[in-house]
Amino acid sequence: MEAMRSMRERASRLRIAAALFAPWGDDYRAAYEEAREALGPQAPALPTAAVRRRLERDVLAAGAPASALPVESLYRPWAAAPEGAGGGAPRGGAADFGAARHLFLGDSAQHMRELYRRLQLEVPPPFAAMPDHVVLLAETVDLFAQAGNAEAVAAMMDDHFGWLGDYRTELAVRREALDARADVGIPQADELARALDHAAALADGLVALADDLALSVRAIDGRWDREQTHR
Amino acid sequence: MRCNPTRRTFLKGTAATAVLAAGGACSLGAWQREQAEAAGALTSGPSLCNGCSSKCGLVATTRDGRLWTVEGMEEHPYSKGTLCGRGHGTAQWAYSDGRLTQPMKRVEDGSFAPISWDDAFAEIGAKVQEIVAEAGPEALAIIQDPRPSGKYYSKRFMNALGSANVYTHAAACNLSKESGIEQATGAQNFSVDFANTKMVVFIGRSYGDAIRPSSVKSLAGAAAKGARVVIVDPRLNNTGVFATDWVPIKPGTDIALLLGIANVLVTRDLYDHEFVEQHAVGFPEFAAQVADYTPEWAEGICDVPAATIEELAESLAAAAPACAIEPSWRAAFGCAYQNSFETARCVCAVNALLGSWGQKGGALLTSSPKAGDLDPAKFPKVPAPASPRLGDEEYPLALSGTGTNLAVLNGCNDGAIQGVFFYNSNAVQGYAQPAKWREALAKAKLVVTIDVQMSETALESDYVLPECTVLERLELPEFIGGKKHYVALRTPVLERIHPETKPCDEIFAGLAEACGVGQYFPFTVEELADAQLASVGTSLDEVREAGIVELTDPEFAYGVPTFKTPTEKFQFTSEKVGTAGLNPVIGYVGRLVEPAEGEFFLVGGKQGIHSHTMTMNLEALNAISREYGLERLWMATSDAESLGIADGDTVEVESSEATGQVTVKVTERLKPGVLFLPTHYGSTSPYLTRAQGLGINMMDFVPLHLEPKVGSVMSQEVAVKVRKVEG
Ligand code: SF4
Repeated sequence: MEAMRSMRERASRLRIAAALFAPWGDDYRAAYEEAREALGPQAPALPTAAVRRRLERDVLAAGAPASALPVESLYRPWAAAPEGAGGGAPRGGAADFGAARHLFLGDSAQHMRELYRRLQLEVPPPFAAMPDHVVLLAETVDLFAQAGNAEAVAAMMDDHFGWLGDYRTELAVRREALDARADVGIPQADELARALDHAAALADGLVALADDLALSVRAIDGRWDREQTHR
Repeated sequence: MRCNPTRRTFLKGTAATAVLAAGGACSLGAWQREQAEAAGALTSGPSLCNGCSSKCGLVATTRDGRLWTVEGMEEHPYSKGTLCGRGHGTAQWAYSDGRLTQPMKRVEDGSFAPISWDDAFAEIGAKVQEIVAEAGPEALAIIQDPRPSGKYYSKRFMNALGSANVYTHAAACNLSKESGIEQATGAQNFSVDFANTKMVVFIGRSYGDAIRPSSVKSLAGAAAKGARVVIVDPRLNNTGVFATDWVPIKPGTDIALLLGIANVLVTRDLYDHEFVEQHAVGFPEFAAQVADYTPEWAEGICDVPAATIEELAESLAAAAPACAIEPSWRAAFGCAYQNSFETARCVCAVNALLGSWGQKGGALLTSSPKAGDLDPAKFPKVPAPASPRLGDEEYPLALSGTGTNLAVLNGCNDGAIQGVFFYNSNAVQGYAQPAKWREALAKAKLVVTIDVQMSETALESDYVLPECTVLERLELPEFIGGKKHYVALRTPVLERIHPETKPCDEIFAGLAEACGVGQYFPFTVEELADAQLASVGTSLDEVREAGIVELTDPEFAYGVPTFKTPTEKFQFTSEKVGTAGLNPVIGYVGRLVEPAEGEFFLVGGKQGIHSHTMTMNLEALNAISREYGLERLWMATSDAESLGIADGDTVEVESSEATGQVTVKVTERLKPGVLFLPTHYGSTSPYLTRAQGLGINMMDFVPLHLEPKVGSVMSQEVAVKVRKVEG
C-alpha cells in the first residue's frame, strides 16, 4: 500500500512539474508555485516575466531561435527501422525518412495517439502535432498511477521517458549555439540565455522525478524493470 | 495558444477507468508489432512536389495518415517516375521542427509574439486601409515566387485592392533571359529536342546541379546516343558527366563567344539562308554588325581561343539544324550581368543562323494550355487597376508577367510603396543585397510575409502568416505545356498537421475580407479549381484521382514555328528594344564590373539538393551540406598556390559592399581568376537554427544595381578580393 501511495505521489509530482513546459502565458507564476513544491530543492527560481516570455516564444515553440520542445518524437528515430529494432518492418516497407530525428508525429506520437484513443482522451488543439509532449506524457502516467496500474506506469516510463536526457542535451546545445551566435543580433539574447538555463533546470528536475517514479514502480514489483524497447 | 489556468490537466475527456486500471495496457513494443503486421492503412495519393518551381508529379504513400514514402509520378512529364534528392528531402517539411506553427507579430522589443489569425487579419486590414486612404492603392505591392495557387491569389488580392504592383522573383532569376528570348522569338522560353539532337551547347546552365529529373534523363539519353554536349562555364559543373567539351570562359562574356560563333556562321556563309530570308527580320543589319565580332575579337574578351570558337561554329553548322544553344535559366544570363538580356538575344540569333528553330533536334517553341473563361457571377472579374505597375516605365523590358521586384525596394526607399506583401518569397536574402532590402523595408508602414518558416524576409516583417506545407494543401491546377498538354494538381495527402496554419487560398481570402475586398473571393479553392478544370474539359474529381490528365493534343509538328513577335518573324532587330533606348539590333554589350589587378570574378550557382535559400533549414538537406562541406568557396588551384591558400583554409572575401569568412575548396574544375560560391548559404535568421551561420551569402557582396531597361539584379556584377585568414 505504501509503495502504491508513493508511486501515486511521485506521478503527481512529475505531472505538476512537467506542466511547466506548457504555454502558460501570464499564469506561469501560479503553475510555478505548484511545481516548486513538486520539484523540491531542485526547483529553479521563478524567472522574470521577460524571461518567461522568451521561454514560451523562443524556446518552447517550433521554428523559434532557440527552439527546444520537450516532445518525444523530436529525439527519437521517426519510424521503426525496417527490421530488427522496434518490432519488425511494417507492411509497405520502411518509411522514407524513418531514421531521421527532429520531426513531429513519429512512432512515439502515434503510439500515444493510440493510447489516448483507447483511454477516450482527446488531445487539445495546441498539442495536435505533439501528442507526445512531456506535459501529456506525464499526465497520462499520472492517470495510470492514480488508477493504481503500476504495470502501465512502468511501461510508460520505459517506453516514453528515456529521451529526457537527450532533451537536456538539446537545451545545452541551444545554449552553446546562442553564445556562438552573439553576433547575429538575436533580440534579448540575455533573457533568452536565462530562459534556456531555466528550461535546463526544469529538465534536470524532470529527469530526477522520472527516475524517482521509475524506482518506486520497481519497488512494487521488480518485474517491471524490463529491457528498454525504445532508447 | 494559452493554457486554461483553471484546469490542472490538458488532456480532454474523462479517461476510461476500465482501461486505466486494466493490466497490460498497450505498450510501445506491442503497438509496433501490431503496426508491423497490420495489413491495411496504406494509402497512396498524387500531388506535386514543391522542392523547386518544377513542381514535379509525385505519388505519396501514407500509413495511418502519416507520410511514409514519396515517389516520382510516372505520367508526369517533369518527374517521369523519379523525384530528385531535394524532392525527397523536402517531403520532410510537413513534420519539420523548423516550421512556423502560428501567426506571429513583431512586438515593441523587436521580437515576435504569437497572434491569433483574427487579430492578425484585422490589424493588417486596418493598416492596408489606412495606407490606401493616405497614399492610394498604388502604395501597396506583392512579391511572390509563383506557385499554382499563389500566383492566382496574390495577383487577385492586389488587383482587388486597386494596385497593379504584382511582381515575381524573376528579377533575381530568369527575367533577362526570358525577356531577351521574347524580343527575338515572341516566346519566353524554348526547349532543345534532346531526343534527336546532334549537338547542344550549354551556356552556364547545369542540369546536373539545378536538377529536373526529366531534363537530366533527356540529356543522358542524348549523350548516350552520341550527341556532342558542350559546357560553356568558368566551372566544370556537375553536368560534366554528360559532356564532351568543357569551354572555360571569363564570366559575363558569353555574349562575345556567341557573337564570335555568329561571325563565323555569317562570314563563312554557314548560316541557313532560307530561314533568315523567309522567317526573320533584321538580318542585314545584324550581319553588318556581326562582321566586327571576329573570333579573335571574341577571344580578347571572353578568353576562349579563337580556334575553339571557330571549331564550335563549324561543328554546329555541320550538325544544323539538329543542334542548338540551350536556352538556360538563371545561371549565366538569367539576371547576372549588364548584358544578360542581350546574351539571351544572341543565343536566339545563333539558333536562327543554324536554322534550328522548330527543327528535329533543334530549338523548339511549344505551346501551353490555360484555363478558359469562368462564370463571372461565381468568380467576379476584378477591375483593372487605374495606375500602371511601379517600375514598368523605367524598365520597359521587364516582362508583363513578372515586372521587376526591385521596383518595390526602390519604392520603399522613396515612399512610393508603403505596404508590402511577400508570398513564398525570401526576397531579403536572395533578390538583391540583404542590407539594402532591410533598409528599404524598414521604411514601409506594413510588411507581411506568408511562409512556412521564419525566413530573413519574415524577420523584416510586421506580421508573419504561416502557410501549411505543400502535402497538406489543395492548390489550383497547374497547366503544363510542351509537345503534349497536361494539367496536374497539388492535392492534400496529409491532414493539416499544425491547426493554426492555413493554405494560401484561405490566407488571401482572409486578408481580402479584412481589407474590405472580400467580395472578390466568394468561392473556395475547390470551386475555382473545378471551374478551371471544367474549362479545359476535365474535372476536379478526375484530376484529383489521377494527379495528372492529358489535355487535347496540341498536335505539335516539326517545322519553322509561328513567331509570336509583332513582326510574326524571328527578330534580329526589335522595335521595342529600340524604343526602350537600347540597340534594336542584336549585338554586343560588355559586362559592367571588371576586376582590378588582384581581384577575382565571383560567380554563383545552385546545388542539386537545395532550392534558393528555402531548403537550407531542413534537417536532411542541411545535414548533407554539412557532411560534404558544400558551403565552401571554390578557388582554382593555381590561384590558391599563388595566394598561399590550401584546401580547407578559411579565407576572407571582400567586395565594395561586404566582407565575410568562408572555407575554401581548391579545385582544378575552375577557371583561374574566378571564384564560385553556391547561392544557398549564409542565412542570418536566428529562427533557422540549422541554416544560420553556415557559409556566406553571395548577395551580401553584390552592389545594388539594376540591368538597364530590364530591371534584373545583375547578381554577378561584382569583383572581390580574397585573403587567407591566419590561425
Ligand atoms: S526537380 Fe526535384 S525538387 Fe524540383 S519539383 Fe522536381 S522533384 Fe521536386
